[in-house]
Amino acid sequence: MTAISIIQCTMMAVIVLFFTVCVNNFSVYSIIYGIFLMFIFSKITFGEQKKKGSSGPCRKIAQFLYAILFSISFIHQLIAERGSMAISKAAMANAELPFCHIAIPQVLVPLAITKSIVFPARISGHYAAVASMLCIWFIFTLTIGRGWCSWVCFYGGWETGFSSIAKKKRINLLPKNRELREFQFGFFAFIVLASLGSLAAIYCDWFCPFKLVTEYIPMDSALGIISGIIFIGLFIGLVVVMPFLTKRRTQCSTLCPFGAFASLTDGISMFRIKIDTDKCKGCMKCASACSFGAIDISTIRENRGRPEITCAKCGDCIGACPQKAIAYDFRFTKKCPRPQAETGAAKFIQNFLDPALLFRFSAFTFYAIMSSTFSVQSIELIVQWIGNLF
Amino acid sequence: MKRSNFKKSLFYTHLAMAGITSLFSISFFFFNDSIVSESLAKSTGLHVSHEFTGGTITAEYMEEIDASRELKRYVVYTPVYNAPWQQNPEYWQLEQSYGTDIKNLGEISVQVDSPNAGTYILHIDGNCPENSILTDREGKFICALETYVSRDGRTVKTRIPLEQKQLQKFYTEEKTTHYIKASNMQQTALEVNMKEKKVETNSITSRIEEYRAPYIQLEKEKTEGTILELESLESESSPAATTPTSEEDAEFEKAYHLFLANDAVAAEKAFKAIIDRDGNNVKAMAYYGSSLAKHGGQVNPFTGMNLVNKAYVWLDKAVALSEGTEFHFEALMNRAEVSASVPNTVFHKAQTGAEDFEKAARLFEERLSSQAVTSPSANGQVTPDTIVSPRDIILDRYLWASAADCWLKCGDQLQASICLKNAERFCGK
Repeated sequence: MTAISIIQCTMMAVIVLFFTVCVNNFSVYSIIYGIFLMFIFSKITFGEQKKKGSSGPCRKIAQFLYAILFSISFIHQLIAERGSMAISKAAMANAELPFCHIAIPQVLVPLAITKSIVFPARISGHYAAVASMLCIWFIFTLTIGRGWCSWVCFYGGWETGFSSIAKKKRINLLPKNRELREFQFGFFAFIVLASLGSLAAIYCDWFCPFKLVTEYIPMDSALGIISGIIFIGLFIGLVVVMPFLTKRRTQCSTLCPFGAFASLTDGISMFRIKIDTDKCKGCMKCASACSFGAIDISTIRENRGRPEITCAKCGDCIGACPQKAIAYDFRFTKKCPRPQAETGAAKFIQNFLDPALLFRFSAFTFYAIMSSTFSVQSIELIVQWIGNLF
Repeated sequence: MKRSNFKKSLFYTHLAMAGITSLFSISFFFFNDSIVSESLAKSTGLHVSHEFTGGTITAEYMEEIDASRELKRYVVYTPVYNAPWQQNPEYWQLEQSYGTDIKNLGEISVQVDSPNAGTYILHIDGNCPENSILTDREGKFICALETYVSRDGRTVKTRIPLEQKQLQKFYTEEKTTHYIKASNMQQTALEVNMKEKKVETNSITSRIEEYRAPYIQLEKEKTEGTILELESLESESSPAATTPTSEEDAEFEKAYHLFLANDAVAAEKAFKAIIDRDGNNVKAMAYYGSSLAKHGGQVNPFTGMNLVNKAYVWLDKAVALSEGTEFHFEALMNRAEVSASVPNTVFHKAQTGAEDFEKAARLFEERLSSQAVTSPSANGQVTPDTIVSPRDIILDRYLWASAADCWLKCGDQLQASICLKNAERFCGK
């Protein structure tokens, strides 16, 4: 297994070397970030060999750091381009707003009907262009599915960070999992219908709390002020305070339309989380550890053998299970069960292509590639700021 | 037994596919991300809802409207209602693109005559566009205008808020007449059919491909040896500035043929040898840069990155040193070609490419004009027919269309359409 980890680390090193170091012209900052990425990936890969589900802390640190570095770099770019974080009227009129993945479910139905994108963004040729984001969404839906939320989403990183600060839960949302899930899908349906009715991305306009760490509508009118109060309140409430009190990703599991959409499309992804009902003793530690509220009391009692639809494949439940009853699996093994490997070669192939290893490799590849440009730029900026201070 | 073997092979097939997808396809996708997303945008014809960007175009006029050539483009959109996220949800957008920064033009006025709504005048202050206003014929203030000026200061989008009852008549207006007055421009009347929605028979991308294709074909033939020289351009950029000896000429020709034959490594060595001997040979520098970039496209990505970066050092040097000389066109062309072909997501050179192509096109047109002055037609007048050969048109169109392609890569559709209109200028559509 160590050999397999070494091979995986080598393959990841090639990806990091190209997409982090090479793409950033071999700058010192890109080398520093590349080393950090390799350190995290090695720790995840080798750590998992020793103890299954031990990669949680590394994932959380990496995602939180990405959220911070992304925001620094993004805000810096906005200020350089527009002079402020506020969306300028010219940027709006010229359709130059960056398009993020959260807007995808809001534009798809209007796109099917009006044949146009109801969001003022560039279509192609830009780092956050519509066509580029649609392609990225398609490829991650096929591979890691909703694993995007727990491994790659730069917004979700904020909640991951705040939900990891407190040692104990102050509020237990476990008994309300089902209701919260119903609320999320209900809200998702409302957002899609409202976006269709108004031909605009309603969530982005009124509800997105991450405007506070990216860009926002200028607060120079009554509507702007109301919108400002809503997004600041939502950020403080659902991204900072509630994750801290509940140790849950409350915004992602109650409000985010992309989270609900990714849950619905997760059925076509390659990986899933499987609960071995024979091994499970019903201790509920997995349900308690799940930050997406995807394991209910009923999930365990009724021996469903899988988490609920909102599972983001973060792997926290795997580490929490004392019976080692939870694991990553391929979705195709439902119809095409894993045969007993008889020869050494077959065993090696099965071990090398273990679903947990492949899932983490895929998720980390997304993470490394998506984070590189923003993170390297942010590190450079931070170093410059520190340099200016002294 | 057979059934279990089938299931086993099915499992391993799935496993192999999962392995390939997880280990290679994601990085492969990101490696080709820009190509994939551009193809998606092109094939599906994705575009932003017109309500965000000004409505659908009802009329578009180019340079022919203004003899002084100050006004490059004038676009009239259909009036918009219920536009989301806009300052005024009901508005009518007019757009003007000038050859210079609008600050240099002072006040621009556009008079709009319509049979039902009446006559209104847009007063756009070039120095302070945010103070632009709409008045009636007598100069009575009607409302403030919403204006957006592009980053280069040449294009101004003006939105007339249509909240007032009297202005809402524009929604049902059949025809309007527009008179534009700015600086030295001759005021011209433009008749606009308000009910006509301009449907582009060819999309921007297909027009770009259409205009680029003949030159690419010529280059291909040249590479194959059927055409050895591109007449006018080649003769003009003969190595006169550095006054090389005939031996140097022959050496350069040899290197150039290696370059045309796609033997990048050999061409690279040959051009380097010329530069080593003559450190001021700008033409060799430009082609050495291009050879390095070409070589970069033929090797693994890591080496390729280094080679392209090295190529830009030489290309930039060639462009800087050739400024003001007759080699400047060729230096610009070399850098532009490289900028257009390297992935923009990695090198961020599409804008440089667009600007280089535009500059090269202007230089080329200046040369054509100067030729025309020195060799006027029989009646002494300079007309496009007397100065422009089919090959000139092919090259000129290629330059503008390539600039448009680069602007599209930067996400600037407006600049792309201006370049395309320039490509169509010599002989119309």
